[in-house]
Amino acid sequence: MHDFHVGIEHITRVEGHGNIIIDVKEGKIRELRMDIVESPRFFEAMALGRSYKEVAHITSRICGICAVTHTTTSIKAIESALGFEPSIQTIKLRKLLLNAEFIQSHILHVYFLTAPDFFRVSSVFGMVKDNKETVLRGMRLKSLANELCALVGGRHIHPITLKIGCFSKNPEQKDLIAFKEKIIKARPEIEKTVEFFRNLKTPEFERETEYVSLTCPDEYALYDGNIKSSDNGETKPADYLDKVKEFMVRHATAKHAKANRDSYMVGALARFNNNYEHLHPRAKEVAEEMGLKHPCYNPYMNNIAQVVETVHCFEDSISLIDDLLSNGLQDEKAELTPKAGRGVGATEAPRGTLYHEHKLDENGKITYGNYVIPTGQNLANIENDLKSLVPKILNKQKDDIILDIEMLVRAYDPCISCATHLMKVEFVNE
Amino acid sequence: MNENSKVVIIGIGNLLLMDEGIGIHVINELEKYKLPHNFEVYDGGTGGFKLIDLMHGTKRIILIDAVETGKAPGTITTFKPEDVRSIYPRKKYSLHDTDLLEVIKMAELLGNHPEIEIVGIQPKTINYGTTPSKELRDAMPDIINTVLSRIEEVCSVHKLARERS
Repeated sequence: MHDFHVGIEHITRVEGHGNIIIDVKEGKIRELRMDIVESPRFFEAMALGRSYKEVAHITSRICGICAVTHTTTSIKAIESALGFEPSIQTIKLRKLLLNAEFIQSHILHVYFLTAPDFFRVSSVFGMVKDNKETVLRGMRLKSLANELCALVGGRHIHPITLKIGCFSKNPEQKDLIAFKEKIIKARPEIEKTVEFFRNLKTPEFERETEYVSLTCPDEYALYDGNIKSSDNGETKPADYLDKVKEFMVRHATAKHAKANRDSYMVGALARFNNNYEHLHPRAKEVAEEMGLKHPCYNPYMNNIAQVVETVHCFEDSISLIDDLLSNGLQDEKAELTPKAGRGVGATEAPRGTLYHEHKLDENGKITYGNYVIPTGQNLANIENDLKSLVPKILNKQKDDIILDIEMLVRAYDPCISCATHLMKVEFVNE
Repeated sequence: MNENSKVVIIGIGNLLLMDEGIGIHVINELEKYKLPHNFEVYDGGTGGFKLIDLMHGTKRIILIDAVETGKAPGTITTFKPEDVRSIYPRKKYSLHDTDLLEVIKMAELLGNHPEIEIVGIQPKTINYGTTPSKELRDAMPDIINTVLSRIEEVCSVHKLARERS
């Protein structure tokens, strides 16, 4: 197909908020872009003038899927600004809560958004007829993670126990013991998940890019670490702007970002590529079983990396619970004194590295905020992937081309319309 | 608690987008009222499929959400999920697109068949801000009254106190 024009609604629930435009003439790309007309920038303005105590509650509301990560990152930025170091117990509880968010988000993404493409159905509901048990398994695993979220975070949605300094309420030890048993019991379900995704044929496509994630010397970095680029090493979170260079493009209000090259990738595959050696041994086995070899340059494999990380997070949660129980959970209080300062929090969200920067005045009021979200960082890379992919698939039928394009974008699980969920309905009998 | 008697009320929305968060504002207001002991009130935020876990194990659910019906701001429309269909296309790229009607459908798939009533409130302004529009703030007493009435009717409870506890 030498001439090809497609405009795909990218954000389907928010009219006019995003499209993929691809125009190919005589086999050459004349135009390829993702229009994004939405930005989280206004959330930063809402933080201005607020007390440092309030800001995490606000950022928790930016996104219902990544609420733990936004809250954690915000808290870390404030603690950094105030020169406060949380206790090991608090850090472990935060890591456990973050694991819950990763499992939930990854499981929902691979089962509900990725899997339907392989069955050529438009949504997970199309899979129900022939694969009901698979869909139910996804829901059961998601619910298990949500239960962990409620156990540690105090409620299922938008955590409430996660505070600056420490947790306002610890989970009960007996509940942690019971939950560990549930994870162990769920292992066969996790294995079936691996088996299911192993049997789906991921499109073959490779484009090596720059991979950016947090990194730690002694663990698979999700909660904290230096910023690592696969190109040129590590940077401290406080210096994130040396690494992450945001820029405006004409066709999107969301800023794009680059680091060493003209685009980079964040998310599960970037973490897998940068921190493979720190994955749980079972997660490494699973990667091999599913054909995910290190390093991997196929962005479609981001979904498989998400399954690998799910296994890692389940196993890591068992270790964290063991650690917490062996030390006994102590009720903690944290006294923080407001003062002027600047702090940066960097945390891995399921979709990639999230940065929150805040500046405070001497009374602890927010005077500046900057939030850099994973999807904004991935946008330029998605466009570059598409520019490389499209010429290679022009011999396919138009429907297949569109599916390949959609699957590629979906592999990144873009988090753009998290801001709104307004129901828009029509009445059946009117 | 006997799950046959449990009534779950969930407010839904984004508190950072003015009227989009009306479901949560109503829940926050509702928590100031003395409700029967078998009522559980939740802030569902923008939880998407996480809402299913709040719906589990109950036969009666009332969802409060901003709903675009084309009527005057603050207008309350109560309906059941089967009365409507979403006008959003089904194909999606992100979990962040999750539609409340899809959540209900998935909950049913999981074997939950609760009686669901949606109390929809017509928004005026969906824009960045933590307080609802003046129109919806002015309408709040009526909204609360209506929600309490719906609770009474849907759940066959005696008249609820209209004073805050």
